[in-house]
Amino acid sequence: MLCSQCQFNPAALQFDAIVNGHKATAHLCAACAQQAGLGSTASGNSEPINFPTLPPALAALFGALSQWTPPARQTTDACPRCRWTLFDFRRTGKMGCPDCYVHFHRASEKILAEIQGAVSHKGRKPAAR
Amino acid sequence: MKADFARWAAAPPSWAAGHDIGPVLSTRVRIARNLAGLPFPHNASSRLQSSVIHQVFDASREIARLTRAQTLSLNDLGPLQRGFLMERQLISHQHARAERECGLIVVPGEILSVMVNEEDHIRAAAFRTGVSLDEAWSDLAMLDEELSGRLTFAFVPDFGFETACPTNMGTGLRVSCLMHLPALVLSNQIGAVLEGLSRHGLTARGFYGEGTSAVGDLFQISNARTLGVSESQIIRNVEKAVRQVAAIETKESAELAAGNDRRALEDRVYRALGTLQQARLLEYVEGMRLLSLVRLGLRLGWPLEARADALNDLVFLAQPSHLRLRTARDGGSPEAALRAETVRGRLNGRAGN
Repeated sequence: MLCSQCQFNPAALQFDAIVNGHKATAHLCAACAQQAGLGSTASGNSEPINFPTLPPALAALFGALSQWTPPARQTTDACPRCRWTLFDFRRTGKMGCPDCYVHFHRASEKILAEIQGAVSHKGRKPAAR
Repeated sequence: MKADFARWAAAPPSWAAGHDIGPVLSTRVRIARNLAGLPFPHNASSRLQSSVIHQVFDASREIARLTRAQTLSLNDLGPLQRGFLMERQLISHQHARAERECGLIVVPGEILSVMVNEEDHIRAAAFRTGVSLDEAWSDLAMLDEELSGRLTFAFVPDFGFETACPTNMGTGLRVSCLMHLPALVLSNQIGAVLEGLSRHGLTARGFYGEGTSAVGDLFQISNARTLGVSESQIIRNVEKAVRQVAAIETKESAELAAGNDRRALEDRVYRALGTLQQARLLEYVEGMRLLSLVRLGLRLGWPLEARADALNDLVFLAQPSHLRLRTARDGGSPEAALRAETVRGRLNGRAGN
């Protein structure tokens, strides 16, 4: 499962919170957990965190999560053309097909920004056919 | 037509450095392209891999500049022939061992090649002697145009040409020069120079590319980024950096020759030549180290009984698979003996062994 926040790293920790009386679950990678004010020592799966006492960044995250209906897993997890997942990318450093970059657009931007320091192409285009 | 590898391995590519003894031996530019709507080679079935090879080979037959090219299926080749193609810089280190269906198109003289189903569906490359980035690029850009008129390349406006690995996205262009930098290695400045390059968006690799160490003080300097910079910017950046590194190397070699250590350097260079002229067993890395020293001596204008073209040719001909292919009938001789014989022959001006 991917981190619910960055949709890029594998989720390493699970956090539960009661939001508006409903239980919300966030699966986060270590980096996003830390960014949200939760160190990696925070225990997953223990007592649900009480919403009003959350640090603002995390409250915002859970707030967003409570509005967010998880899209059907199979559509977000795999490229519709080649079935490649971001786990596969993490494992191999490669995408599965050209369409993966469009399907995983947000993650692609993040990856490209990290590797290339840019996300927009300058230069040649294919010849008109 | 079946390729005659023994004959092929007897001469260097036409873009070998010839009589030039400067720090830049050659230029290589390559583009990565993929066919729209198809999985990248690593994720494709062997049926799809074969179909991509057919599509690219069919397109290439309609392209005038490729009509005299030979087309090879790597799966028909043994490890020795694949090793040879890697030594020729036509396929990468990683793909000399790839199991998948791979094809290669290469023109006579080897100044233009198309590798099919390497990391990407298409890796097209142009090679030239010395610093010749514009000429190599204009040749390759025309081939790109001709290929893209016949095949639908995967391209999205924001990310550019799509590639299996995000490190090639955008232009898909890698421009590199093969440099001989013995003075920077001897004076221990190479680390600092290469680090400086990396701060300017360039990377240095060994003779055999990614993940290989530098043999014979040979380094490939290339652009690191392919996205957000245009082809002409990439070419300008690499050319500028290569010329700067060449100038530092030239200055450093002059200083080594003028300094207190001149006698010690002379001793090393002349001993290197003596060993190359007399050795009966020569390991690859040792041979390349000695050739590098003699090439430095020639660059400094010292009187040495060695011709620049012989040294430059040996950069190719003394490689393991080259030796093995040319001397298949001497299968019993150790490689080190074949190398010593080839080096002696070339240095003494004999064209054959």
